[in-house]
Amino acid sequence: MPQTHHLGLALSYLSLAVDQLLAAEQASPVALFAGVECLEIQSQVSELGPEGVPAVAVVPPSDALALAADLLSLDGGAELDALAQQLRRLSRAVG
Amino acid sequence: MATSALDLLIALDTRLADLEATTMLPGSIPRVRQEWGALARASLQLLQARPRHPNDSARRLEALLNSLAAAPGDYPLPAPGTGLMAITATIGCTAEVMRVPAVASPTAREQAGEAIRTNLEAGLARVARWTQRGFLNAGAESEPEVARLAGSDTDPHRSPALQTWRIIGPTDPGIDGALSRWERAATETITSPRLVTQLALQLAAADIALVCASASAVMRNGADAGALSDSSAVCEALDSAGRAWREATRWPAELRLGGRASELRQASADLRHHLDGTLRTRGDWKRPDDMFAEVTAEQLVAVLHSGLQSAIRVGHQVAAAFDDLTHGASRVWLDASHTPRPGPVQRALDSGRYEWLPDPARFHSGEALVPASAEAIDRLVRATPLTIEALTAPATQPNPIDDEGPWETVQVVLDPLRAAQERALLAAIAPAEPQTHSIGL
Repeated sequence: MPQTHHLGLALSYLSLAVDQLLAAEQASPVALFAGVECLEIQSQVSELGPEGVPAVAVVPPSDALALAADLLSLDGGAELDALAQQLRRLSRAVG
Repeated sequence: MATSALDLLIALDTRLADLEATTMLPGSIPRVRQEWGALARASLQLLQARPRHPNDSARRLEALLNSLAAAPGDYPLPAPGTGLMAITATIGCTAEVMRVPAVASPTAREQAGEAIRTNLEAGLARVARWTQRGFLNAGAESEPEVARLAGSDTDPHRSPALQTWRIIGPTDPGIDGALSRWERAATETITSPRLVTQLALQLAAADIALVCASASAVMRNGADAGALSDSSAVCEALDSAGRAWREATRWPAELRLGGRASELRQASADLRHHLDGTLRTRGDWKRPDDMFAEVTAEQLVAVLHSGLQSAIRVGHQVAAAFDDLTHGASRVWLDASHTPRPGPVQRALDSGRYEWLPDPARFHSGEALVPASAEAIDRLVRATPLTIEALTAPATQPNPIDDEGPWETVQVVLDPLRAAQERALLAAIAPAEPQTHSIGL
């Protein structure tokens, strides 16, 4: 069973990354495609049921995605591990 | 397969050539008279389905067809028939495509309406001349209406504006099919109180931004390649719409909407995969040469225009969902710390550790979301017709390089038939692989 506080934190970092990648001033297709993919992952994680979404410090999108990946990896389950790998790839792409 | 009104007019030309290559059998004269009834009925439907100007000039044609048309119920005629049946089916399909609701500029509507009329009138004239020849050989007399139709010398012209009316289906390959599946999934999710989530609405808005950016990249590359007219205005409009849809993905932290949207997630990923494969390389947009290596700029513009039309329909659903969250049966949840309540109630909530509460009826907390989506749909509706405008305006050719040197320039005399075939090939949306037809002829 995933630890909801890990997922809540991961969601906070994902939300932070999405906000920055989809910001109106972003002109890069890399950021846009990555932002939409992050939203999709965020939607998937949010359905796992974390209640709170704690506040986190503002960091660049690549760091936020790497942190979210680490938090999802803590669960050790196959589904979240696959999402963590996806996030690490995105972190490298937008870095 | 994806089919536009332009594709169908090209198909009509082929069906007419097939008919003209056949000889009417004397025994088939009664059958041909019946088939003319069905052809006239289908032609009338097409004339009525096309965009029409109040001062429309097709009244004579309509009157002739009305006196020839079979009463509803007299057809479909049983097979086998003559080549007229295939022509009737093509015209019927074109009428169906023209009934697809589409956002189009007045110019595109006028050009498309005129192109439909001239192609139909010229096509009917060819059929009428074939009929007259067959009847004459059999010693029979054709109807006076057929003789009048045969006398028409209307010059048919095709307009790229006809790409505005295009049908895509979920089994189509490539971006077309992905768009069709995405539109269906997004509409089902957004309009279902059980499925819709905050992230589903955000994802749909972000997908629309992605379609806008993709269309803008195609238009920019198309102009750079000299295939489209100056695209700066349309790119600016599409980029502006894209920015507005990115803005519509933002939700205040204190609002939430729960649910499940796995179907939309899959459709969104599928759409992104197809846009990525067709339009991007190593993260950036492809260069014009690569982007238009397998499909022409006009084909890609038509595909993305269908995407923008899908995006408009989904965008309206997103805007309606935001409005419903605010003014309808609100289902949005509000951070409990943002709901001031009387002391005892607040203490009871605190003791129950409630973090999220249904938005109180008088709060209208979702109000902040409404203007962004309304502005985004407005910009998208304004930008979309401009893509087809760029097809219909003359292209700006890249400056020719004077490399003739001492060589004599020889003008190539094109075979008119070959030139027409090449134009038709350029205009047709060529299948990349065997396809499932969404329209059968």
